[in-house]
Amino acid sequence: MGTVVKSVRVREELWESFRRISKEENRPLSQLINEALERYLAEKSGKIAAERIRRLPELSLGVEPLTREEIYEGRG
Amino acid sequence: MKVGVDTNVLFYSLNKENPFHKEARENLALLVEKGLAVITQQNLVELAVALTKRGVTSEAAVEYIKNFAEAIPILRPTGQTFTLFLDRMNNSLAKGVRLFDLYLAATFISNGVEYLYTYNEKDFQNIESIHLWKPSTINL
Repeated sequence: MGTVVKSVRVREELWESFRRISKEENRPLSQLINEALERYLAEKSGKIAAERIRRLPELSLGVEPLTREEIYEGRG
Repeated sequence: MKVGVDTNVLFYSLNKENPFHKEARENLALLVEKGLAVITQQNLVELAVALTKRGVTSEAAVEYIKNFAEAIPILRPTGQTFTLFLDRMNNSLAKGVRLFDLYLAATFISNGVEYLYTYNEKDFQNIESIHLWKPSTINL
């Protein structure tokens, strides 16, 4: 299943490479293109999430290591 | 492969005064970028406790936690988690506060996670089925 996509302009050499791989690996072009899109989207979302981590404002919370004793014991 | 991230990694990635700060932030970002990092709800609750105990306002803590929650997949306890926790508790010397480590490990293991990134290695080294992740041992 899936949507039939048409009128998408693809660079000639990319298209030829895809066709060649499809023949060599005996796999349908649709499958290869779906896999490539999936990989691209996963990579893109991973990069965005990682950038979010890198951009979080830093805090000054002391040099003491964090332990579960600190988290779970005592109050305040 | 999935790598469970311990609360201290999240905390050190924020705390610029900690000696592991830069390493924790960059390793965490790389694990997230590669789609390998996972956390649990327990981690985020623990982070909330740690941040507010060290003086961060609740409002600010919520913002940090939301950012982590949106950047890193959150695992939840499965049907097997509690059984695994009790089984491990029965077969270990862990008690008191160490049981929270055991429950965290049980949540990761029951979700198929084999590696844990932590700076409190000794807390987890006797827990079977979960291996300590080090940047040097697995190439990102």
